[in-house]
Amino acid sequence: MKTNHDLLKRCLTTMMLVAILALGQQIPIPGYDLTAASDALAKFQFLQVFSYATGGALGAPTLMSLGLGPYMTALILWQALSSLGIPAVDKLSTRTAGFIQNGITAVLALVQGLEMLWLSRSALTPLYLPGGSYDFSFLVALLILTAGAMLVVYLALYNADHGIGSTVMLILPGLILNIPNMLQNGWGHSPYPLTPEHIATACVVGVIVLLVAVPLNYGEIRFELQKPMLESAFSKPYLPLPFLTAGSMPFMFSTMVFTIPQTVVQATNLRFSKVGQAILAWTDYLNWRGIITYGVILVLLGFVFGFVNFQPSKQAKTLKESGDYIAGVMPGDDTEAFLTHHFLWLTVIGNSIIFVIALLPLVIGLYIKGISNYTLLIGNLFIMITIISTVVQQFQALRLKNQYQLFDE
Amino acid sequence: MNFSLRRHKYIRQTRQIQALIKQYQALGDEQLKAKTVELREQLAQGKPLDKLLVEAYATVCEAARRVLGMVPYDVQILGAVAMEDRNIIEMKTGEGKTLTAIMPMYLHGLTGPGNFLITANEYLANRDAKEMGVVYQWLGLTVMPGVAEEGSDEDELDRHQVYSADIVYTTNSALGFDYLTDNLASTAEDRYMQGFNFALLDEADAVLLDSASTPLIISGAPRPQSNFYVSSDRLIKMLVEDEDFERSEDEKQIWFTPAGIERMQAYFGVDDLLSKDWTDLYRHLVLALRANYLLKPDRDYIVAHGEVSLIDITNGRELTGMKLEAGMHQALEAKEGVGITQEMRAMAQVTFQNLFRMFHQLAGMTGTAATDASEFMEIYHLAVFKVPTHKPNIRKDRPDRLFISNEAKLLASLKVIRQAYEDKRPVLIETGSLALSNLYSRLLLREGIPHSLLNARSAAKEANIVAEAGRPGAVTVATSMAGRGTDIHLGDGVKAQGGLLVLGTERMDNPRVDNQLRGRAGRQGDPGESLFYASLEDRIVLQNAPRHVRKWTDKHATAPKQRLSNHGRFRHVIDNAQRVIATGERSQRFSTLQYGEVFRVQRDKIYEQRDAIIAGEDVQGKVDFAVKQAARNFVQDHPQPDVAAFLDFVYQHVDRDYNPAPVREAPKLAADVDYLTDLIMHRLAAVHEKLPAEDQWAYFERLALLKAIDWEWIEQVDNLQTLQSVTMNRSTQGSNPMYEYQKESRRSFKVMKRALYQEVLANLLCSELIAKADGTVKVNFP
Repeated sequence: MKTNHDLLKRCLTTMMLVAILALGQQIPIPGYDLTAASDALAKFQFLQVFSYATGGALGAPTLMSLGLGPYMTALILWQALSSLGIPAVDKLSTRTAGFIQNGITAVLALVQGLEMLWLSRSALTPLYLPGGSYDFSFLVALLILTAGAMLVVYLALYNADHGIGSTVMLILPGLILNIPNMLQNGWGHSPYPLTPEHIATACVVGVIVLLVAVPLNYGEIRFELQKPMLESAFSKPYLPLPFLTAGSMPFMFSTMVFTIPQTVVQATNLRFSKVGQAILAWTDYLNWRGIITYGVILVLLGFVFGFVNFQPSKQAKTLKESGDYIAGVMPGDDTEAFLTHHFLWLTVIGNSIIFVIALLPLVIGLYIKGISNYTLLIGNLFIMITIISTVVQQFQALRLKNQYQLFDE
Repeated sequence: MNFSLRRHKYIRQTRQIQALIKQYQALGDEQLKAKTVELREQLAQGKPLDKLLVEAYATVCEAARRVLGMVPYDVQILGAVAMEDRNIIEMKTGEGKTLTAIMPMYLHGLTGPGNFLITANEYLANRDAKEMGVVYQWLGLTVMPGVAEEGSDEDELDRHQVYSADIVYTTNSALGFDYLTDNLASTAEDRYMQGFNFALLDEADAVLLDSASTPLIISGAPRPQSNFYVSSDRLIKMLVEDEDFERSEDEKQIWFTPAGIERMQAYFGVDDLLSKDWTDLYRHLVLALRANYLLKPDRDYIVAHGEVSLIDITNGRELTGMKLEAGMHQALEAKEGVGITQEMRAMAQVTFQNLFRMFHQLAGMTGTAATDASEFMEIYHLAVFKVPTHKPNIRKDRPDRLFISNEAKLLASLKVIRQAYEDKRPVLIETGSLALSNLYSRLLLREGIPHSLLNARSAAKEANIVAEAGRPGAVTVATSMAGRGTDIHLGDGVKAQGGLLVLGTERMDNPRVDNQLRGRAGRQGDPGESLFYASLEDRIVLQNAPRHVRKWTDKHATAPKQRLSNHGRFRHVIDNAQRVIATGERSQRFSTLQYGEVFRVQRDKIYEQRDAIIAGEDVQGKVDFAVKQAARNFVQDHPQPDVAAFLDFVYQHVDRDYNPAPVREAPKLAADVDYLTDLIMHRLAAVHEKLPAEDQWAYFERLALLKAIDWEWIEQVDNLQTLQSVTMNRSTQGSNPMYEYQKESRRSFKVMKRALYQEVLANLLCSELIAKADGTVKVNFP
């Protein structure tokens, strides 16, 4: 059992970190009347939905409300940046890259914090310096929110080093715990009361989704590689192309992209203009225009994230320079075309499946009230599956690390 | 990092030691020698080692004074005290690290065998063992060098004697090699290692960082190889750059163009070189391409005595006995037209990180550690402690002189050298590679300046060249060989001229190598000067600087004004390039560390089993399990009776003379696990009758198990090596290549076990047992 100490320690560390995060999401920001703020924010249900997908709790202004959202967005931006293959970026040391990522996170935290605080500013009590007349409360609150977000980043990185499940594990508890709320309230305009029949339906749907999503998640195409610099291989080297090229990222960010225009329009004077009205119409998921918009966003995000993850041209270049190749395919441009071709096909197929699965509840929701919330449920299940598969992989690796027997099976 | 608290403690202990030394001066020789016995007794009674530090250090310092006539300075004692507290001490060369080291070595030597002082090369190991050994021996400890003398054979070394000494002076590769071979022993008598207690690493940064990026691999078992090397090389030499192949801008990668591939296809008359049928041929073409264009003679390797030998780029020395892997060395041999040697496969492997982490306690010394302090702490839990110099350092380190083109740089440096030569001031010129040292030598000849040349080819004359290097008017051209451990004493009148001038003709890959070079001048408070020349055409800039620098250099290569200001836009180009390299090396070491972990777990298991078998633990149980499992595995693989496969299995692994009649008549028996097991057990009994004596039989069983394990482990080591490369492409969204590697190595281990059981079976049942006249039995394993 000595060998499993490491695993046990890691699990306990993760639990502790999750507890700290939960605690942090209960610590209110000074100067806020919490109930008034929650009421103000309750009108913007979609805000909360986005936060659940990224481990935040935007229902009330607390220290760690922003959760991992800014960090994850920063990581994606950084990955997109490094996928461009700029040599200056490639040559950066991990420490410098880390600094830059933290910088981007801080900026994004500021932006998101700004959004949240602006929407609930009515609940803020003014804060003046003795003798001054400038109301610092907003700035102070913003600063604390941003600091809280950076603190969460620290927790996530600590988890990656000493806990289990890398950085994304911290999202999982919040995600699971908020499923009932999500099912019940969705994006805000279609309540779905949790009666026993509804809960049963939800479970059935959940099981079906799991049965479909798990193979999708683990499925991949393997391109057998020839490696001239390798003498002989007992195991076949291959380049994997996952079936879900974008993972569950489209689900994580689709809500944000879908609802930001709405927020902006409703919060400003645009809501009175024709353009504003049009935007509102096209982002209202309770009519077919909104549904199409949502579908398009999902697919677009699927392609973008897929490209950022797989990067066919960079893969082809790496293969060419190291002398590796796919049998029968000329290294260089031909390989890039080959990989891109397969990537596009796979993404189209994968995206189509996601398109259908995600949009079906929305379409049904046009006729039966409340079904549209199932889209959120499905999205969250996908996110859960990808996170859990990472955790399981690490768990297995740690558990089996020292388990070798020679003379007893 | 603020060490003031620790520093005070060390200083306090140093004062105590010095006070005690004064007392010991009054002791007679016999009384001083008796101290060893006294200290050992205290140890035996349970006193912890660090409580004995003050007495032990005082004892050995006083002994050194009496035996060698050398009195340690207080900074040397301070360094020794710091080293005992799990530190790497940063002590400039020339400060007397060798003498400093005897104190902790003596202290740990009191505990018995298992204490090592690791030096940079074999020459130093032998020299220091001899010089310092007299002190230890005078005090009653045993000391042995772990490497053979220059000129004599490795195999003549009596390893039992070496490793039973209290203190061993050796190199890191010798230690690693011996560790691995020790674990190939068949009997307890053949084992010679007595545990890893304490290691003091001289040039700790070179040992723990520079040589730790790749594992130590023993190659032995020959590998079948094909004949394509020569013909591939011939074809590659006919190809045209930029048409048939291209290079990356940093010149570290090279690949074929589609046109090139087609041309090669036409040459060989092959329709698709990239198809699976021709992978072997293509592989040799890729190897030949790299050998011809990426590896340069007199920089990466030298050709001497009809052989290709590799050069260590950090210290310019020849790497004896080391070859490139996976056929690369053979491609080099084809390129240089020397005989193609046999390809070997890896037999055993250990990373230096894992080797040194097996010690209970580590310490280190070097002239340059501070830059990598965090890595030392993270991986080895060693802190860095700077020891002040005995006399203040008055060396003048001049700012670099930067030029655009290489030619301008070399010509400018020649002027400075001429001036120094005329002033009769000794100069040490460091060049980046063997080829450049030759070039520089020719330049100096053209100028009419007599000089000595020190590089991998003239290594035998090293001691002489170094001894002369400080004389007035001496000019020495060297590679980075003249870095670590080279102590240059100044001749008469040189101090008045400003001491030794060290002139670097380019900055090296690593700032530590640069600093080691600077340290050649100004030792022990002598005056000295160091000056580095650099150009934008140096290899370090070409390979690691941003593209815009290269473009600018191309454009301005022939500009009239070649000297660049130290405040211009290129003032940090070299520092940044070094940083890029350092980052790459660090991640390489980290990766080696991680992969090494997986390896370590499997290796520890194997070695643990070997030890158990040698000690005779449950050998019969293991044998029983192995042979029965082999039978079970066979039946599992062939659930449908397959008579041909059954017979094949039996003839190869059970009984060469098996009568096939029963199985031919009742084919169902071929899938009957009980029948097979019965057959095996009967056969085992029959073999036992040939070796009736129980001790002989036990020995035979042990041997059979060990040989099987060793043979299969060799295969597994090879697999684990290649698996690293195989799984590295598998990094995508969900998958971490490390976890993939772990998964695959587990799978590989399982496959190895199956082969192991079959091998045990064959070893036991199909060996030739020849009874000899004297009662012994000779065994020929299959």
